[in-house]
Amino acid sequence: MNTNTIINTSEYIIHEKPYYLPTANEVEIFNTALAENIPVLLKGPTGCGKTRFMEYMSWYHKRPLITVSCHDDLTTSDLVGRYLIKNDSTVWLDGPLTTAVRNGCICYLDEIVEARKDTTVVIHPLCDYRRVLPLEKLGQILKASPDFCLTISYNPGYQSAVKDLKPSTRQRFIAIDFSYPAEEVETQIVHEESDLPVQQCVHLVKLANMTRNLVGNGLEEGASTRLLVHTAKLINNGFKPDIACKCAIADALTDDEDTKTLLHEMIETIF
Amino acid sequence: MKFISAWFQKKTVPTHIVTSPASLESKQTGSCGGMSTTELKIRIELILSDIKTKDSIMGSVTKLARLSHPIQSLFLTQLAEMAETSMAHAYSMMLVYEPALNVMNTEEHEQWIEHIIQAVQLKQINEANSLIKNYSDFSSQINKSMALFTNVADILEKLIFSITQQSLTLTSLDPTTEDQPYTDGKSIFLPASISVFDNYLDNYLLYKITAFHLLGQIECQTNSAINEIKKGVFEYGDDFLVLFSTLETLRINQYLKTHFPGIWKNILNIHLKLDIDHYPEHIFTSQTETTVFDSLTWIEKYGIKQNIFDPLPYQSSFSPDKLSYVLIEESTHRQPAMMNIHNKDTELTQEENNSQAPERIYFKHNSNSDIPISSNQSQNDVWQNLTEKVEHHQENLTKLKNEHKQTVYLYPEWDTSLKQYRTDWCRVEEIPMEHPINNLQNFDDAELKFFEYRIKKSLDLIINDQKLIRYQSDGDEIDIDAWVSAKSNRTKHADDFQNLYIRNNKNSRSIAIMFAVDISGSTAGWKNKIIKQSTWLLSRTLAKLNDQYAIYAFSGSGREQCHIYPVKKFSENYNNDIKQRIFSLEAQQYTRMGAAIRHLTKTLKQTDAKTKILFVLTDGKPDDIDSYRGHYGVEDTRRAFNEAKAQHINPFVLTFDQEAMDYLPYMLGKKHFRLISNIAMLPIQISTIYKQLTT
Repeated sequence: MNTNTIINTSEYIIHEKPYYLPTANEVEIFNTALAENIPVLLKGPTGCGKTRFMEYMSWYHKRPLITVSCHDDLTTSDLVGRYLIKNDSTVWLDGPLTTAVRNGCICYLDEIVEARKDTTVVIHPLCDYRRVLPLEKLGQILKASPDFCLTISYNPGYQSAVKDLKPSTRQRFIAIDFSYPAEEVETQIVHEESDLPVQQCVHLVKLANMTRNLVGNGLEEGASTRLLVHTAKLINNGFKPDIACKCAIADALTDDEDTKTLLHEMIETIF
Repeated sequence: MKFISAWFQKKTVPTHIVTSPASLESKQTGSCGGMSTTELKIRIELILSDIKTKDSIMGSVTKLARLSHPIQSLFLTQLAEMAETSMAHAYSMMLVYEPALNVMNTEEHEQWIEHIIQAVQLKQINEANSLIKNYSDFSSQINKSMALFTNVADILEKLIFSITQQSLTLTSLDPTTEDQPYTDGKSIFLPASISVFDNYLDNYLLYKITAFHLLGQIECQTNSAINEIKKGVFEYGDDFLVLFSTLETLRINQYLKTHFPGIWKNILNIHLKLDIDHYPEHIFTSQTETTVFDSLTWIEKYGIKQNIFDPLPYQSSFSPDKLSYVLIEESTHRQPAMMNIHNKDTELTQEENNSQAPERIYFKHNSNSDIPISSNQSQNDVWQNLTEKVEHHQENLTKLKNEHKQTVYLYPEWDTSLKQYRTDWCRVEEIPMEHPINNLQNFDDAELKFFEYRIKKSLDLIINDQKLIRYQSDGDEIDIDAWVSAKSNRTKHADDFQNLYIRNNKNSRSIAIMFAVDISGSTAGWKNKIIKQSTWLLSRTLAKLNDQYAIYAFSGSGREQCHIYPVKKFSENYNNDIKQRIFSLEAQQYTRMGAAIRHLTKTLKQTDAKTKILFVLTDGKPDDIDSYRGHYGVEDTRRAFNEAKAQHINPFVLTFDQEAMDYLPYMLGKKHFRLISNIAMLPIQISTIYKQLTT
């Protein structure tokens, strides 16, 4: 094996325990999937805790986590690897997926639907019983390390008709659905993340739920837990709740003046 | 009993003297390029088509032609809106529109128009006549601080929806009565106007508090003790009702304080402004949830002679006749969650009411509830009717099939009562649009140019979204990857060195979109105008995008006359004919949506795009004669959408039906529709949604 392909996995290890509050049985399901070498699909709206969950599971199992944020220019080479020029010759450099496969990392492909459909097909042989990654340019078939785990995530709430997973990709995963946490759980999360008094966190969560009820009626998505944490931090730093909510929630959610007015009304109803 | 509604009718003297504004004509006329006299006359005549004294409008038209374009556009919109209710009042208003502008400022003028429209809609003919005739006095008579229901209803309705996720309609009380605000569980009835305070903001806040109090009445389930309240009123009369109303108001206040601290702040603010001292907050201080029986227990304990407090300005009606109405509605949907007290009387009332309640079908989003089953008698009737219809259909079927028209198609329809398809049930005919209008100058106005600019800006990112094709023999940039690859493979494939460029490709999108435009009768008037403008603007922009798109309009009358109007087929390029066809679209009859969707799905399926989108623009539920409405229509349309999805077509509905949340999530799924409240912004909204759908 080329020594360039060996990485220092400690760079990818998460040393500090990330705060994560399980909302259902997602931890147990992921543990089982990991033990059984089944890839995992995380579904859920933006800011509901998918990435945090992955960090937590990586820390929990002490396995390195390699995260790839997918975008529509992501090519197969970007994932698998490519030759580079060095001293008038070429050297092979593993892409993040190959690195994870070789070194037994957890590979997390975030927002997989953003990547082109032909790119995502490269993960298919990794996601069934074969657990191999064909390296076409090297002429190799790389067998995945027993510790390798593939996780992908996407947001099913987008209304785009072109952003969807192919059934052939979808059916290789077990899916964990991350909807927004229950009110009490979300309150606790916001409180833990921001140190804001619980009562104010209750109000923030109530406001978030009101915005979520407006989805399809002016808003594409409601306020996420992440937005609530941002808001709570602003409040904790001395900003008035209504000002914090307008900056971190209303203005972050929409540019439409009518919808913004409505969001401001909601804020004034709660605070 | 003192009527609390008196609060809402209190007339206050404005603190400032309203000076007669200088004529605004100079500001509102002139240089902005308004419509010409001829153009205005044509437009007005189109709106006032039923008025025979057309020749007499020339004097007014000349005056209106001097106004700026935005004011002319606003005038035409207002005229059309009024003409929908009363053509005669629209005509009278038109005659004094321009003179009125000279004696009022813009805000007063808009308020004047709103008052006329409201009076016309409430059938207060004398009031409307007086407002039009005495327009010069209006400015001195109006209360500028007054909050009008028409101005606040939309935002309050949405606010309440965001909390309850139920479509609680806000309705205006008749201003001629002294009715207090109340709720029947489905609607919240608010005063037509509030002018308690000298400034608008406080009056608006009072509206908001009143609306939340009524919401609180529903959430706190005051109606769950209806029989006890009736008994109390029967035994003790108004004294009981006054005390009970006050106690319930205090209890609801406590609920609002806990759940909506912002509203509670507003309440305290109102108390302060009205010098309400000694508010008896101590009566309900418990942190735990209270019930209506706590109020009744208090009365039982302290007696009805206790005078706790005067009625509050936001206090709603707790009269048993209003509350019992709530019970009828509520009993069919949910049981009180907080009430643990076993109440036989209430159960009896619920049973009685259930047996008398009309059959109603509700579609709630994410609802898994079973669909109500009709009674045996009505089912028999349905069967009999259906049998007759089937026989009639069979007779006609042969005739229809023999038409041999290339533009006639037969489609099945899902009969939800039979749980099966009716084969070849709907006759869909594509009717070519052969008589387009010739004069399109009327539609090239400044307003559209503004929209066009916004749409172009919105879609520019897609238009410029170039994709890179690597390994090309020529192109804009050097492809480093290709060079590296060629280097590593040079012994095998020397030709690789020929393909070292990256080329930008603008045509990598593979999208076909079918716009299905509902032109049923309900879209007549200004809605039709906006729909046409939006469709035209979008089609102009899409022409630059190179996405495959088609525009078909649909309407009809009955299953044998489902008409589809091909405005632009996939095979056609955008040109002036298409524009003419778009602007010759007029509102037709009914909406048999299922048949239209099936036909357009079939057409869309024939394209070779990878992503196919069926985009339906509509203003309401499926609705046709021959019982194609309600549950039947929704179920057939839902089935038609599911058929489209099964054929890898992505359906999406853009609607401006404000009740759409009751059925669209069920019909189509949560992420496949969008409700817009302000139809005037349709041109912008439609392009924004298009962008979201295709990127």
